[in-house]
Amino acid sequence: MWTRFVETPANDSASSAAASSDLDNGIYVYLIIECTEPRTFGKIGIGGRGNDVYTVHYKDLAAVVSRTPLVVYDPTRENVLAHEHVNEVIIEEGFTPVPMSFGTLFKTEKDIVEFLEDTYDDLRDVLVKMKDKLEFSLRVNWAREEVLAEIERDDEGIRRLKEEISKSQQSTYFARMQLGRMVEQALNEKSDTYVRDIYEYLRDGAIASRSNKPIGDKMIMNAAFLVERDRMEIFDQKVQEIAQRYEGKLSFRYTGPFPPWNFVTIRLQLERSAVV
Amino acid sequence: MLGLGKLLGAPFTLPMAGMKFVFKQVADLADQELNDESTLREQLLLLQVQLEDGDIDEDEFTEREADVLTRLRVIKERKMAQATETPVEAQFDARRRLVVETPLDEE
Repeated sequence: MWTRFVETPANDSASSAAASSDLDNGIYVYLIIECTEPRTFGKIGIGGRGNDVYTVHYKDLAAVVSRTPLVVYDPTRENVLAHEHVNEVIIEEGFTPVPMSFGTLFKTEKDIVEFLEDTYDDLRDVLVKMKDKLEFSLRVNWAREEVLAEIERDDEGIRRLKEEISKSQQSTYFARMQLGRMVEQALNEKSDTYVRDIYEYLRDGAIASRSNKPIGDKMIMNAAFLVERDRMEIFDQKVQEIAQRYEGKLSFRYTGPFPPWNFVTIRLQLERSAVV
Repeated sequence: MLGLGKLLGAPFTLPMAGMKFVFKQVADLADQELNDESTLREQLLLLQVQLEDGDIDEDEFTEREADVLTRLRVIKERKMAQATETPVEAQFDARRRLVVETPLDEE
């Protein structure tokens, strides 16, 4: 997720100066959908000003947008939740959204139509590819102490070394170092095994998965799954089952559906070129 | 033993290591500029996870989020200042290009 302020290439400083007296002089774009009829989705726009969320059209594509002051939005929890909420509403309405990065702003509706026109073929490709596919997030934390206790109970080598250390009359510095290393390795192996097992179990429920870097030291898995809309319930069921298998040791935080953030990225790049 | 060899070699290797150290510092500083932003973004994510897990409360979250965002804003402002230093005509010649990446393609 990153913030991007989109400058239009044309020199329209005159029009933007005229519009700057109006507070809502920008347009925030949340996502792109396939939609020919103008739609509104409620006063749920980002910025907490109750701005209407509506569509801007080009051919059969529509950008879902709301008016906003032309500001750079900080990725605060509040702003990110507002951005996500619009996505949720669109998904509930049955659309498959192509997500835009958080913080994408345009100056005018005309700019948005131009953007849709310029990138029509690419956007259509993505929409076809992502049709009726949604993303789910699965974050797994472990109860490290529980797992540690299990290792100390079950691992023959570790148990014996621990006993030796407690009985020993001499310095146990190196033995303790070795014990630390062995425990660390055993913990890593356990974590890898859990994660592999979870992926294995969920694999047939999903079209694709992506593994992201775990956040913090309690998390061992931070994954995104791409799931067919009509297989959502089956996938849901599978997550419940695997969560039950590890009850007490692992806790699962399962959220979605989201637009396929992890499976489509749309970036606007400034291309330096004299030929236009 | 192991330590002795190191000790004997030290007078010869030190100046070289010293130079390397200086170069590395310069490189690290440049890297840091790039990394700061992603580090701060990771901190934001971590704060959200900690809030969800109940490790911190709403008040602490709000306070620490504000702190991270302030630092993020400083970096962004510096970047924007640098961006405006590029020749004006280069900015106007620049054309936006859409980059669409679907990792699905690779499977």
